[in-house]
Amino acid sequence: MAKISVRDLVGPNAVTYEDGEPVYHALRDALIEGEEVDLDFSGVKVFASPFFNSAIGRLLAEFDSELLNDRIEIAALSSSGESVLRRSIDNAKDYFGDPKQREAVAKVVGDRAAVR
Amino acid sequence: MQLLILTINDALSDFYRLFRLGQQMALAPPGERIEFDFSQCGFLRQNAVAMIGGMVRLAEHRGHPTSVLLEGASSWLRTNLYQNGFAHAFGVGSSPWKGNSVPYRQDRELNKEGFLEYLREDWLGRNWLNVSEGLRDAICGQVWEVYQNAFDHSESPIGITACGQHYPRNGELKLTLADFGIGIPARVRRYLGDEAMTASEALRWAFSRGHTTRTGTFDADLARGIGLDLLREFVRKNRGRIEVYSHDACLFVDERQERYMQPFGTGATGLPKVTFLGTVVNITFSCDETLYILSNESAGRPYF
Repeated sequence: MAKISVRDLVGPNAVTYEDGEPVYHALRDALIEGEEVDLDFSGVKVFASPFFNSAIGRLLAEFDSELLNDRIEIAALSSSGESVLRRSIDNAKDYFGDPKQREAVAKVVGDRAAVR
Repeated sequence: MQLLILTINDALSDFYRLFRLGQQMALAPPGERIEFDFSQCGFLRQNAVAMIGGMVRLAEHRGHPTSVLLEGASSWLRTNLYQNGFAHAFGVGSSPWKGNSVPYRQDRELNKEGFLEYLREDWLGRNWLNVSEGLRDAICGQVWEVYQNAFDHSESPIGITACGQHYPRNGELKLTLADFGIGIPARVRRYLGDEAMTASEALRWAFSRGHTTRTGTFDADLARGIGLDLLREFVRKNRGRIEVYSHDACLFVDERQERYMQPFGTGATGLPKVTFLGTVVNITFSCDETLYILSNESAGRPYF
């Protein structure tokens, strides 16, 4: 089982989209390799939703819930971190599970990019 | 132009007076000096310090020379503004020191370590809040959501300003964050292409789960829009309070209510309409840990 230490990648505060990037890539690489992952939050104290949206919620665009439940073991996450993570995952499931919502967002983003 | 600043608390009518000051400032002819005159001011709460600090910076950004005049202010106010670093930030005082107020702060850009240290040490770390380290970290995370949101959405030319205060008599700890950008209603209307949407409808939309106006280039496809919803749930569970003001709308959330209003129009109050083209968030937490519930909502349930 591969071990990913969030503290080693991010430090004690996991709050920004950018903080989520290295964790997302480490998780994704391991999943593509077919590995099981121990995602360890020891030593991480402060959590906010941008981090979880970027690090973990995004995986639901590519992998289904069953596979993620089977392959990722989450360890040493504080209760406040758990609340934010669960909300982030629920939101990502709604978002990635609803093509209309994604298309609407993509259209707005695309229109704006075209205007620029 | 002289802006006379009187005593300001953090009730609805006090925010109204702050927004009136902002509108008055916007009328200054280009290049004219703007004097912020505190000579008749007895007391300012943290919301006024954060907002007036931002107004001075906004005036500078617009090319106005500025002066902060503290002579004649009450001794309480002068001590407070010296202590919390407001006076020092505007060149009229010595270095701040620790006291009952939380320092005045301005971040032009997102400053992760600096702002979290400010929350942990200067706001929550003064033994005013009788809470565990875990709860302190949880509160830091909740306030971070507001801070990150301001940088993601506001387009504020001066970033954010913040100030806090401890109120021992009420057992409350307060923090105000203000930005001077385009405001939540403008951002939501532009995003949805719905110019007819009222400011309070836009605020309600922005605070609904899964709704976000972020369209940055960091990435194209992320599920977002839960930060404000998380904060709302946290303060409701834990007997805190948030007030959000943007344009002519506001949102009040506490354990009993969630109200979206447009109190500053020409209707019920009979007062001239004001609009604040930015967003200010006033957060109140209780100092008593026994009032907090850190949920362990679903231990054992699969995450995904």
